Amino acid sequence: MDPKGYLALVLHAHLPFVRHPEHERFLEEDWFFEALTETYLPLLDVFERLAHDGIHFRVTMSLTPTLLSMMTDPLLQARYLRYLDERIEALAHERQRTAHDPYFHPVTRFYTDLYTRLRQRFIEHDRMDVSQSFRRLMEAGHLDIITCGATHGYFPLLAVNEESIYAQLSMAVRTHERILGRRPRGIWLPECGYKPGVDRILKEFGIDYFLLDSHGLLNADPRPKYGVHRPVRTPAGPAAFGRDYESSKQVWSADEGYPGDPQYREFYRDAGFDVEAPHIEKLRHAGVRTFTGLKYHRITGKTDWKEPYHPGWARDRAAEHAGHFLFNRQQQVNWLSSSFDRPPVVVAPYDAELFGHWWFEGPQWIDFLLRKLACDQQDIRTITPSEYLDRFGDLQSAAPPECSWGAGGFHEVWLNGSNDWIYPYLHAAAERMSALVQRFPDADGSLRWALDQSARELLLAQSSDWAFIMKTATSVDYAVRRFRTHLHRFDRCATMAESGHYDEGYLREITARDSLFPDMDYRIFQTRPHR
Amino acid sequence: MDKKTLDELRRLARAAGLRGYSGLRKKQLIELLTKQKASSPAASTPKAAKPTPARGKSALRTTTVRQPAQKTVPQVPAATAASAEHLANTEQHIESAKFEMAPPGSGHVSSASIAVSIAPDLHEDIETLPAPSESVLCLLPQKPGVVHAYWALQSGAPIKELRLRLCRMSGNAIELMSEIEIANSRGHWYFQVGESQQPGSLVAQLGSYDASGAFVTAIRRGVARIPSLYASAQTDRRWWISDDEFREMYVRAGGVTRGEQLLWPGSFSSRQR
Repeated sequence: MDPKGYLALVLHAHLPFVRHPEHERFLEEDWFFEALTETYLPLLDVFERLAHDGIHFRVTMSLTPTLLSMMTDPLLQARYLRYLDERIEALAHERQRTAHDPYFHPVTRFYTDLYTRLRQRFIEHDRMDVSQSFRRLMEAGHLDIITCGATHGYFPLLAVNEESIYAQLSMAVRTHERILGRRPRGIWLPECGYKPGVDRILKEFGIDYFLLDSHGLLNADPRPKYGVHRPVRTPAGPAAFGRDYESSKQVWSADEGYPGDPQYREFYRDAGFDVEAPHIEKLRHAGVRTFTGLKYHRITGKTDWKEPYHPGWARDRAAEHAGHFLFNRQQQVNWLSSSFDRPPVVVAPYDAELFGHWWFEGPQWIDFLLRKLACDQQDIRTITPSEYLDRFGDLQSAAPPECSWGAGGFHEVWLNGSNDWIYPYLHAAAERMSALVQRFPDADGSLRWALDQSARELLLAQSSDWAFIMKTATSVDYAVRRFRTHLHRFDRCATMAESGHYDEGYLREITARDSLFPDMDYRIFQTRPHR
Repeated sequence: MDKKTLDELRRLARAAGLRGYSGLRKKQLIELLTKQKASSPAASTPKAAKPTPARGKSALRTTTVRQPAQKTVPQVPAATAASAEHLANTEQHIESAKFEMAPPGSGHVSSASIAVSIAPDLHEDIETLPAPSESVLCLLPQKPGVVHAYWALQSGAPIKELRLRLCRMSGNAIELMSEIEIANSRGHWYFQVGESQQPGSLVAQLGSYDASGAFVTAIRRGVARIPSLYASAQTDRRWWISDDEFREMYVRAGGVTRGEQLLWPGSFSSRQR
């Protein structure tokens, strides 16, 4: 029996490319290791168990080119193992330290099991390369994996130079195909940042669909008959799916959403700051305290006092919340399908890192939700946007407005007093790169090397993460440093190409450090797809 | 304004770009808002020169600005509206959590200062970035009602008497919207163009007035379009939906609440009859 409607769960997994072989260890590399530990590996666990249990589910994930590059990098793989080993060692001491504490000792045992299992699966099952585990799920038909901008460049503010959009897409499609074995059908535009005209370029790369925030569809022209609950066909052809506000609010909202529940793990209390002991000090970076990932408290309430974490209670709460979410989706789909003449699709996109890293129980919630969806009801079925297009592809044509899913709904997050200074440099560099492509249509040898590295450095400078971090003020020094370094390296490589004088020692060093996109071809910076 | 709740007044203050209002009582907030409305619209925090009025004989024809159609804004319960802004900030906060390595208030550490290097220093002077090789002028929409302009003039280019103008093009007419004096060879400005207007195509011009008062453009940059806040007034005949159905669907889909979250004064317009 056909369901009344569909749920498209979309998880956008992204981190900027952070890899520092020039240092023994590097604080910001922990972003990747934390996300692996708390989001990517737990999600793989959930999906693989569902597949093993024969539960029908469909989930869409975007794995960005920078994230895929880090997942496949041997240095980062080895450092992740070191990260896990250090924690497993610290936990042995933690278990001893809490041996007589009936509240915290079980939490240390919980983490010991967790880290030990993760380590074993990472080595034996993933063979250190997590991207291939996602690929297997995709090949088995459970996951659809879509791409994103090569370095998550923010298209509306880069579009001053169309070559930049082509370059971001070109390298994205290549990287996706190289690591996952097939071309992507869909794309998660960085920050869902859209400008009319981007649809035309997406079409040139064979992209069938992308996603927008709700106002991207609600304010489309002409008025979308089905609001956000069916995709529209953009003027150039690719379909645009709109975010469903209701399902977003239930998860994201601090007041009404699930992640703030008192039973769930508290993000801001960490052994790195709570525990004074040599084995915890060993986890610091050059003596400086940072999060270790060993978080022992639950949210408890809007108080400073936090109770010890109880995994079993948290898990039960996740099950309740999954049931609640499903119930609301059923109500929603029942109402929509009663007035629609075609099946509605509720598109629920989230940052993947929300599940597990921010909301520790998030992956469990997804597990319960997908099981309940498959086994407890028949009104809704999970679907991927690709499948929806294949089955219900008669779409209304409408032109979405310029928009993003950032705070404010437009470009303010990436263009404001904290970060507007970067754009003159980015635009000038793109023009210069474009001129180099025109001047040297067929370079080889050292010239090719310098041009390819120029292209790499420019793509890295274009990461919207730097502007985002400058605005949200988490690691501003690092973001500024990264931006300036990549621009500087671009300048030096471009000057080498223009002058014909090469500093091969320098080129060798920066190629070894900024090593992503091994199949780089500088000619991606032109206003047509470069194969 | 007396009838509005404190939360609603605070939202208005925030939308008007006011500061320091969070500690004010309702009466004081109303006074502040009334004063702000009465004075001329303020530009955003200036980074470059102060604005000067356009002068001299203009070769431009001014066109009258059509008033926007009457907007119907479905009522949103006060409680929802109050939490709307909170949600917008929460999402951003959660997104940035993947970069957080310490609890708030514990200070941030620059990895550059603590990482131990095991490779040669490349002696990269990242403080000095390349200067522009030619003069540029660029327009970037920031959000409805605000467009960002930056300029960078080649070193040695004269900047005395230079002005940056933002103009609107509709049909054959160019209408001057705003003008500022340039005092530096590099700089930027945020032009406030009023989000209730549909300004059409925007063009930036950098130049100066000649002896006869005519504006001579040195660099021109167009065309930027300000994205719209509002739903379309058009309906597709094949995918027809009535005004009432669309309004209901729009509200149910969270269009107005989402608009509130994004601090839009109104995100739904009814079609003119």
